[in-house]
Amino acid sequence: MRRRNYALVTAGYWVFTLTDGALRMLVLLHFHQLGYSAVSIAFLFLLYEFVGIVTNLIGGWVGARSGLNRTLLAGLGLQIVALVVLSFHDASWRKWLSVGFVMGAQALSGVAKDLTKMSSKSAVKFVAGDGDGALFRMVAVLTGSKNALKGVGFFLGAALLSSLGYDGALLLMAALIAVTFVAVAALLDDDLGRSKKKPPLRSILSTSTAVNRLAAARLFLFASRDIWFVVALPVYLDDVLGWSYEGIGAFLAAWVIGYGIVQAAAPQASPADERTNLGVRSCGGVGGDGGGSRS
Amino acid sequence: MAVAVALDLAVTVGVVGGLIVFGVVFALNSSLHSYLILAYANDRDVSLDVGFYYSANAVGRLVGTLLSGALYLWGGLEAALWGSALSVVIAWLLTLRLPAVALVAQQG
Repeated sequence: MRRRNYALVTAGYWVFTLTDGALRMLVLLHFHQLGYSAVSIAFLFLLYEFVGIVTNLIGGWVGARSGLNRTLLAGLGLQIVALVVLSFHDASWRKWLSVGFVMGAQALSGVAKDLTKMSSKSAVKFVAGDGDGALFRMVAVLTGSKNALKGVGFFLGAALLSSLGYDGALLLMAALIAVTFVAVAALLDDDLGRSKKKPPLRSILSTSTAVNRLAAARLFLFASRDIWFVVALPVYLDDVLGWSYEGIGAFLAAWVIGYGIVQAAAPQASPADERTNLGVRSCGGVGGDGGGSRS
Repeated sequence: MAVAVALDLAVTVGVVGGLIVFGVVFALNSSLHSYLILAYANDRDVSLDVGFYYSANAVGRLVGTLLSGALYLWGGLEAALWGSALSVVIAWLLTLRLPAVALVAQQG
């Protein structure tokens, strides 16, 4: 059961991520071809990033109350809606209408991404069991393969746009996710991750010092990447070093793929340490991964 | 001319090489953190802690994205890289005070 749940969650997250990366490239290239400026295109993705903050807070709470099966299916379902809605866009629309429409659809896709991500990552805790380092290995493989696939998705999006066109590419991806949706709905454990007691809404803010410090560290860790990665580097490579768009896109995609491979291999590279509980024999009956799994 | 081209090449190698090194260290850290949040998370309602954590992740990405544009406009790639370095130091200082997984589990 555990193995099947892990396989289903991983497969669902993989298919989702391929379409997530492909969609980013598809929208970027399509609207670039239609003559939109870099700033207008950046606007298209603004809400996608913004909704992540709220979606994770609320989604984590809903997941604990209703089960991760529900939040995962909601994520996959919303992505189908976002993809189909985007295919309604017509190149003849006025610019402000187009930007607003695509921003809205991208927001839906952003909610879908974070519901899927939060559900998949949380599910690993329930399927990993207690073995020494098993939790680290499983989440590292899930996270690393996800990022590598996102980079692959960038290339896939570019290839789909030139072979099937904008609408064809969107509908093909919607169909792919629909198949995944049916498989998850039919086979995934129904109450995976559901809390015995329904937690109240105020519990969305953590009271654990460890979780709060780790969350603060995560905030600065990801800010440190995006401060140079999102705008500064691509613009610098273009403006100062004179790279082509294809060259910049390929470098960023390769960076994401390489980064995913290192993430997946991280458990092998991490030294034994008491704080992380890796490679240290547990004592006093405390499980290697900090507690039992309930699935 | 030759000097300028050589300098350009040196800058390219420096920037690309430096960012690849950053990528490796960043990937190891983010992978370890992704594990730690699950190890720290309360067994009964894991997704509450995980959702809170990835919400902080999303704040970091949004702030990073906005700063990326602002710092580049203000002082070019150099300013953005200094901002990134400062942010790494803050993240590192915060991780120094993380408790052991086994202790968190006992309190859980």
